Order: sequence, then structure tokens, then C-alpha cells
Amino acid sequence: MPNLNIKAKEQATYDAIVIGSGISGGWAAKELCESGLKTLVLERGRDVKHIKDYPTATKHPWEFEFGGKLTLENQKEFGRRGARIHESTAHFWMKEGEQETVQEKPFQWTRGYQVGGKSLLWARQTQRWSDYDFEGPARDGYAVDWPIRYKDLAPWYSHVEKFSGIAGNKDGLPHLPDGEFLKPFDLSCVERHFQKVISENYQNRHLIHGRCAHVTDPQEIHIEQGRARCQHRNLCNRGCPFGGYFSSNASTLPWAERTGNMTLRPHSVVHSIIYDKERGKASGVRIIDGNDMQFYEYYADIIFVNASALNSNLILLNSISDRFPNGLGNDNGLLGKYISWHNYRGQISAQCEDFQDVTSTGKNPSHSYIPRFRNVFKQETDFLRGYAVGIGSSSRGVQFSREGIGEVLKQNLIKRTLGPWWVAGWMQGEVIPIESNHVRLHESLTDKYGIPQLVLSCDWTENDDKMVLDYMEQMSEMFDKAGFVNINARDSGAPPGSDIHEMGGVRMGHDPKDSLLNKWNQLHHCKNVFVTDGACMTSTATQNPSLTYMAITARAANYAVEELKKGNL
Amino acid sequence: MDRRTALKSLAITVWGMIFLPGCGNEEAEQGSYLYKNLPLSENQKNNLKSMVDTFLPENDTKGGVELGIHHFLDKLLANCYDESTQNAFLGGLDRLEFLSNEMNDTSFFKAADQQRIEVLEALDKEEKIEDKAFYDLIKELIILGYTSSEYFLTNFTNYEMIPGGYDGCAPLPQEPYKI
Repeated sequence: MPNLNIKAKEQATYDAIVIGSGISGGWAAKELCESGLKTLVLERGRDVKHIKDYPTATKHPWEFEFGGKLTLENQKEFGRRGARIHESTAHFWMKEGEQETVQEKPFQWTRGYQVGGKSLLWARQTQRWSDYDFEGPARDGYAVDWPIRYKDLAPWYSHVEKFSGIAGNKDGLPHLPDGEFLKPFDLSCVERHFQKVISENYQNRHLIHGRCAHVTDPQEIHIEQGRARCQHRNLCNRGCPFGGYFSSNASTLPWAERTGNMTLRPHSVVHSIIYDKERGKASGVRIIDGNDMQFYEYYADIIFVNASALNSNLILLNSISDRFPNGLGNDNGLLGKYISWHNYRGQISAQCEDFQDVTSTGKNPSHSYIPRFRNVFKQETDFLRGYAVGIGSSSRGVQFSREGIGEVLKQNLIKRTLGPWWVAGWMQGEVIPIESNHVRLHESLTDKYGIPQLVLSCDWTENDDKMVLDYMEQMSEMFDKAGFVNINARDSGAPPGSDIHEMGGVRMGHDPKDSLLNKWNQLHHCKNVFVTDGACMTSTATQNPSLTYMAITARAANYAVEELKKGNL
Repeated sequence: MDRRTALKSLAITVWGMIFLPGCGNEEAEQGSYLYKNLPLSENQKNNLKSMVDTFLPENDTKGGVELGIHHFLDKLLANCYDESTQNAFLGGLDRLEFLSNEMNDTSFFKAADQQRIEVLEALDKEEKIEDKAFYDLIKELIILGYTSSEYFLTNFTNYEMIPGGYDGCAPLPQEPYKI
């Protein structure tokens, strides 16, 4: 049990506090520090310094002690997942028992508790939203209207794209706006063929180059960060020694540190935000030190909550005061509700037996992408919204026989042949936020820090099931038209959260009656607290969400600095 | 061990091994000081080494023993697999020895090349699920040890740590095995 005595003497005061050092927290830190604010960045896990703390980054397959498998002892630390976790990335996964939850319904909650968070582990796909996404709730009558539109975010998309380095092709699609792109990764011959088949057979369906956070053509701003061109190693999740892809560790945090304004405090598990009733705003943050299990308090004028979507909900729910008995800013009782995510249940695989006279060389760290084509410009189907599709067909399969004993076996292993091209597609469907999909604090169960356990209560709806069926039908048809063979479309039946795109619970909106945050990501009822990670999302669209979190965070941080200077916070 | 438990444990085992194992004499010998080893008798050690040699003999290219795959298997099984899998493995080694004595009147590692191949073939055809599973497991691990060794990857594939680029429509390689 943690010692409940608050160590008042350890108090410290800053201009700003950022809770979390992942993709959005890193951006908050960078923007606030660059504006001259003394900023404390709280991270619940250990520190991970760029390059220095990537112990496996340059290991060859044969250099792992047990071929990459964890010892039984180490496997146990990761619970049921243990046997599946590879030594090359094990150090970036949350260990069992670090934060227990109650799954009222099955939910896969993936967490990366270290400086940089999941920005070390993400899939690095980055597409902008358009007004067909922001206007979705208003047009189709779900959730609440977004208080912002594309024009509000567009300059901030540009701002974060230029700094992060986004590879992509300008495709001129109204529903997937072009960005500040570096040159895209190559498409394979099969992807080019599929692109042609789609454009010949369908209106408003397009296969495009994946847009991803890789530096394919380093600009001055990337060189200044110490980042080099992506080397196509496809070992991104070990941490990239070249800084070839964007992570907080390689990019925003060192940049913030260089200003001299950042204090990074690892091992800081945030317990709650402290509310000052007299002043009508938050005064600081209460943490439990992960090493000594003592409480500490830190104070600041503004607080950015970037703990990752569900943890940001948890922190606000646990920030109880006389004024806010149900969680900070939660006068309408909607905090923790309308949790949403992406539907990745639809999968498809096939083979392409053409293009046998060519192959691929090197590695493609990205893939191709089919932006949403269902219900974009008007309602067309018996389900709401739609799905984008990730398409991977970057190389041919390698075949060899395992038959025989002795020299026969050896020759079989050496004499491998190129098989057909593999083609895979995965659905990225919009999940409609509904009130019953929620998280809440458990009445009595706590985790090892004494913080209430989060109850996860999220489920699929009929809309999701219908969308999966449509995905399987449409993709099978498109694959068939492309001449692919052995087409296998299926519903993985994976539980919510498997997409690692959980969102909502602290949604933005116009009206304090039905939303928690205003258009600047301030809590309606506690204006110096900004929530700019996945928790703020009013709806999910189909795009990979990180780029939008970055843009929303940069926008809110710059607004916060202005307001602070005006004396409004 | 009943049939179902044996199947289950070995299925998990083989599935867990989709990751690339590595090996090498030096590492294996260093590792033996730092990590656990299986409680193998001299006879079992010789038989394990001899199995690796029989599956992947040395000739104009390196064999499994020279690549230290027997050390690797010992270390891997002793440190990364649960006790029931380890016991099943030790039981399998005993079955191998029993078959060899029955068929050739001698220990497996002392038998002639062709005799050893015949013993392994007999093991492959075993009706008892544990014995067949032992054969499948050890063959799978030997193949994985070999195909992910530095020797194999750098000599017989196009393995590159830093490819530097990607061409999605390239001509076929001149050396057919470099894929």
C-alpha cells in the first residue's frame, strides 16, 4: 500500500504540466517549451532516451540469446501474452500487474508505459481528416456535432507534418486532404495493378500510397532533430537508431529538452488533478512515485492531459473534489461515456499469380491504402459511415520444403523458390460512439498504486457487424476483379480495443450540457485543463488517429499559451 | 502424459518458435555459464548432438553441429519451455535410444549414418503421439536454428540489416537462392 502521507515539502511549481509523454504529450511538451513555458512532463514509466535505450535496435536475428524467445521467468512477467512477446520489443510492453482493470466486457487494452509511450510501437500511418469526417455526427445524427471543422485544423496538420516528416503522394481526394508530403514509398507491381483495376471499375474508390510518418527525404528541420532518412529496416518497434520514423523520443521530446524549459519526470503515476475551488480552476497534479510509492504534488497554471485515451478518462474520473464529486469537469455525467474505437475485424487475404517475372528488393515499412468509399458523400447503405482499407502486397512468398533427413533436408532448405505475391487487406471501420460504451471507476478494487481500477464496458453494435459483412463482400469483389486467387475474407471477431485506437469519453462539443471539452480542448468547467489525446474525440472517422491528436494538441497548446499571456487562465 | 496434454504443450511450443532463433558455438558456450541447461546424461547429450548431425550433416556446406544447433536447442528448451515440455523432450530422447538399440543393437550416436536415418524415420512413423510429437518438435527447432543462423542467412538468402530502400517491381535475382 502506498503511504498516504502527502509530502508537502516536495512541492514544485511550473508554468505548465503535461501528463504523458506519448505522441500527443510529446507535442504538448514541444509547443509549450518552445513558447517559453517551464514545463513539467510526467510519465508513469521509465525513461527511454533516443538510441541509447534501444538495446535491440541493431541486433541480428542470430544475436538473440534464445532466438528472440523470452525465458520462462520473463514470459511470466507478461502474463498470458508472454509466450508471444519477442525479446526485441519486450522492454516496451506493459508488464502484468502494473495496472489491473475490470473487463465487464472483453476489451484489449494495449499500453506502453515508458517515456515515448506507444509512439515507439505505433504503425506510423498518418492521414488527415476532412469535413466529410468532422461533419459526420451532424449529418448522420449520432454523438454530437464537432465544434471544429477542417479549416480549423488544416494549418496545424501542416505544422505537425512538416516537423514529423510524413511520406505520401498528393492524390487530390476531397475526403482525404493532401498534406505536406515527403516522397512516398514505392508501390509494388501488384499494388499498381490493383490501383488500375480499382480506378477502371469503380467511381470514388482509390488505391493510394500509404501516408506515413517516415523521413524519406530529410529536410533541414529533420536534420536539426538529428534524424536521418528511413533505411527500410522494418525494425521500427525496437526504436529506430536513424530516427527514420517519428516518435516522441526521436523528435518532440529532445526538441523540448533543448529549449531548457522541460523537466521530464519518469516513474510518475498520476493519481488526480487538484482542483482549487476558490480560484475555480485546477492548481496542479497529484502523483505517486513508482519507485518510492509516495505521493507528490506539482503545481502549474495550465495542465495538459495526454495520458492516452482511457487513462485520461481515469485521471479525470479520479479527480474528485467538493465541486466535482463525479470527476473533474463532469457536471453532465458524460465523462467516460461514448467510448469508441476502430473496427479492424474485417480481414482478407489472397494471392496474385501474375508478375512472376519480377520480385521486390529491400523492405517497405509502409503499405498502400484505400480511403473510405462507403457513405462518404451521401448515405448509401443500411449501416452508418464506412471503412478505409489497408492493403499490403509488398513482396512474394518464399517457399521451401521441410521434407527429408540429412543432405536432402539441407538442400531443400537452401533451394528455396519464390511463390506467388501475397495480398492482404485489413478493415479500418468507424465505430459509432454510443452512451452505453463506457469506462468507469470500480467502487472498491484498486491497482497496486491504490488507484481505482478502470471498468471497461464496451461492445460492438449491429452497425459494426453490418459493416464487416459489407467489407468482406466489397473486398472479395475487388480482389476478384483484380484476378487474385485463393481469396479468404473473414471476420476476426476480435474484441474492441484490438485496433489500439480507443477514443472518446471526454468528448469535444459546443455545449457544456452534452460535451466535456470546448473547441479549444478546455474542460468547459475547468478552463486551465486541456485534454488533447484520444479521449477528446467526438467521433472516430476511419483515419489512423495519431496525426489528428498531434494537430489538435499543437493547436490547443498554442491557444493555451496565448490565453495565459492574456491573463485568461 | 496423455495424448491431449502432449498435443497441447507441443502445439504451444512449436507455435511459440515462429520467432527466429539464433545460434553459434561461442554464444552457446558463453551462455552455458549464464543460463540453465537440460539435465542431460552423457548419452543423451551425444544423442542430441548426433540427431542434429543426422538431420543436417556437414559436407561442402556447414552442418548443424558446426553451427552449434545442439547447444542452442539445449539452452532454448531449458530456459524458455515449461517443465512438461522439457520432460516430454527428455522422454523423446529415451525413446530414440530405445529404438536405436532395438533396431541396431547400439546407442543412436554410435550407429552408422544410414542406421541413424532409419531410426529417425521410424520415430517419424511412431503411432504414439508423444514420440511423433518429439520428432516433429526437434526437426522444427533444428530447421529454425539452421535457417536463422548467421551462416545460413548471410550465405543463402538476401538478408540485409539495412536494406536502405525498397523496389516493388525488381528483376529476379541472378543467384536463385538469394531470395
